[in-house]
Amino acid sequence: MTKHQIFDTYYHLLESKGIHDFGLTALKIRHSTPDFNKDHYESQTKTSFQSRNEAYEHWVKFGRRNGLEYTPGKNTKLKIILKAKDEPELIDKWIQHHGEMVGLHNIIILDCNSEDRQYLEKLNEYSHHVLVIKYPRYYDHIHNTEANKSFFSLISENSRYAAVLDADEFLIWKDAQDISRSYPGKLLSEDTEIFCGTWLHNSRPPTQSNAEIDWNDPLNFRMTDSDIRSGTIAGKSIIRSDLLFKARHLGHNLHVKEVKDLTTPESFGKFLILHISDLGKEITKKRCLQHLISKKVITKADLSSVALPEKLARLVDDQSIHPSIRNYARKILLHNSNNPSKEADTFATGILNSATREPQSELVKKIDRFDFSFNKTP
Amino acid sequence: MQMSSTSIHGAIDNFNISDNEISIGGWAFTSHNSQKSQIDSIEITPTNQAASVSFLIRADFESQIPFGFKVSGLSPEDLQNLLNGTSQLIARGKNVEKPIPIWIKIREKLKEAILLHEIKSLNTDSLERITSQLIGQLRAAPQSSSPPTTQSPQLIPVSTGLKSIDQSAIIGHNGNIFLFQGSNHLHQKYFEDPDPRFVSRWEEILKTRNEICREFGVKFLQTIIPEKQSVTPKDYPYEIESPTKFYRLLHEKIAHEAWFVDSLKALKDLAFTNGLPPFMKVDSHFSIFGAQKLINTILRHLDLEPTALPQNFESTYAAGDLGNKFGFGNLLEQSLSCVGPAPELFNHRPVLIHEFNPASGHTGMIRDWENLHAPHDIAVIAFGNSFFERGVRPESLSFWASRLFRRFTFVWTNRLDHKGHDLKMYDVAVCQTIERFLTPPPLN
Repeated sequence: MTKHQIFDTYYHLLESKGIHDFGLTALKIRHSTPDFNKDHYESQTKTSFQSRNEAYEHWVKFGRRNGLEYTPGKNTKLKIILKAKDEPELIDKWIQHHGEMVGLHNIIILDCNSEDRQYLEKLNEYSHHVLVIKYPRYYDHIHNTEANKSFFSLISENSRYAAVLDADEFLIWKDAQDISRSYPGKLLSEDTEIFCGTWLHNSRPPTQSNAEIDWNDPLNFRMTDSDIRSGTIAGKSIIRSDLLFKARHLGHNLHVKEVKDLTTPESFGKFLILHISDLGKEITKKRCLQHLISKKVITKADLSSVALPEKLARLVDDQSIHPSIRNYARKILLHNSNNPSKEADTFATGILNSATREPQSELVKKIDRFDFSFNKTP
Repeated sequence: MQMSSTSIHGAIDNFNISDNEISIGGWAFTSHNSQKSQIDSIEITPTNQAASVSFLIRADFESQIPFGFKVSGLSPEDLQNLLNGTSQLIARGKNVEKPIPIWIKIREKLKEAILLHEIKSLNTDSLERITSQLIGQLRAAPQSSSPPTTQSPQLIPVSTGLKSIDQSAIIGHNGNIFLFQGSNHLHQKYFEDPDPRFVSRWEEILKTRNEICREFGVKFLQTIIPEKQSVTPKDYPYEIESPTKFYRLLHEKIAHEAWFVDSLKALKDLAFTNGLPPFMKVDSHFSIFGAQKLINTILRHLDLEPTALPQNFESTYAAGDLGNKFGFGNLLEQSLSCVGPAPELFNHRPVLIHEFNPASGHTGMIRDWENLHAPHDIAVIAFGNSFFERGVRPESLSFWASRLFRRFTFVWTNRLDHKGHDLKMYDVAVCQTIERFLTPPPLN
């Protein structure tokens, strides 16, 4: 094969700056990443190739799907896809956390029609290191693999495993008695078809100042049996890429029969997802107000107006207005944090801001003791 | 004792490069004992038979002696040779001679003007070839060990909202450049309430076109291509309600008509369902995806099978009609161009059987193709503008139409020219215009 016949859409998009159009994932684009190291790849495959192009072609056809290292320290074991719209408070931490775990080349941001210009500028900056793609449809449609066939074909051709997360979800894994945010190589080298990451919800909002999260303070998460159970059903799955179309859905664990059918006892209790579902009153209010401004229901001038609460109350009561708008208005007026849980049911963690692993024997004990077979009962 | 000597002074300090004339001008004199005299002669060496020299009085010398000169009848090559020193302009007088240099302040302008003139005079095929060569050079540049030259693409920061000096273009989001005002005052059109009489007049005109075509037994189709900002308003730096009110009103009146090809809907579908860019980023015209989408929409109106998009692409740097308006070189975009293996359609090259190029401008230009391998055995004539173009690039509608139909004729005009063209020879007549041309209505 000659140099000019290498088509490598994933690395073309990754290495071209800017927010890319979703439809480009369906095309074959001629490209060859300079990152590819023939000697290193040969050592991984224990095969000798006649030329760099021959090795590259092998990597495109076989190596990527198997997650092999193609240059020291870089592999394609797990791609983590962020589905997000206007997430200025969370995006930096999310990218840092998952980038450190799997490498920025394995992070894909699907931007779902963000409107905040500063946030979009930030995405443009990220596009120098991370693949950023504009998702043109309603954001929850992305979980349907068949409906987004070209995109998920590209993912399955370029990765061993894949997951779709939201910006408030932080993947960690259980490593002996610890939780870890390092590269989960041990787990990914197993042949498990699907891992069901268990959601752990924060028990109180993160500390914040000026409507920004202070990541230096530990976060608290709930860990009752009931939380683990519901968090396992609704948590997010990591699916082996060759099974993405069989599973039909890449997202929540047990909402879709085909996904559920793939699970085995090996699927559970290994990956956890810190879900910061309660961002606190200030950030929630700020986010909801931004939504209302972008939907042109209120203006920026309204933010400093004393009549704002009255205006919001009118929106809540107005049956003719779209339910999502009424819901944002309601959230601003009525936001209450989750009911604080008893201390015994929670754990505090600084894993998002400090060492790559952290002892959490209580949490680990609870997870290990938990009977995940509940999902097999009819 | 000191001998006084005669010297020659002078410079080429102006030029004129137009379709009618290429000339240079300047000043020159001999100087002896501080006395200025007119030089005896000026000539280009090696000798250029076509060049003619005249002397003239220059106001800046405040003298009635003709110190000024003009050399006419030159070609771009003559100027190029003077610039690179292959030829010289020699002034002679009183037994001395001296080459007259080009004033340093006009050197760059002269180079630019020669290049622009050459580009203007190229036909599309050679333009395509030269563009490919330039792209090749640009692509090769990063691998070169030599320091960057002016030919290497550079990343430069450009602010969103920046307008060109002539207000014709504006930088949008995500690398997009948009037409801003220009001769059609486009931006204003998004805020103007249109005169309803004009809207009705347009409706009338389009219905009349349909009637005329019916009389000739030809199927009529009309499309109005929306502006880039009407399709992807979020990339436009200003908040606008899109499309323009004029377009919306006219659309409401004609959307139900069988002859109306709704390009706004088609292009929005492309952008928001297929997730592909309908337009190029640094150009006001279609990307390959936009052109193919509109052609397929036309095919659907004719109950014909849509054509497939090529799947294999490579990334190239592309220039466009909006990228050179900002005064800092040509803003390029990284765009995709097809590479083989291309769909069969691409191999069925049409034969150009007739062409007409007007003496100036584009209006009236004709391209007429025949294609015995075309998948659809019909004859189509299109009356439109630069979205059809000369059929060389797949970003143009003519490229596709000339490959899809047995006979395809493109006439660059805003009218249904049924008097200048025998519509009976055709099965389909397509009229195409663009949103910003919607007022005033054409005269027919």
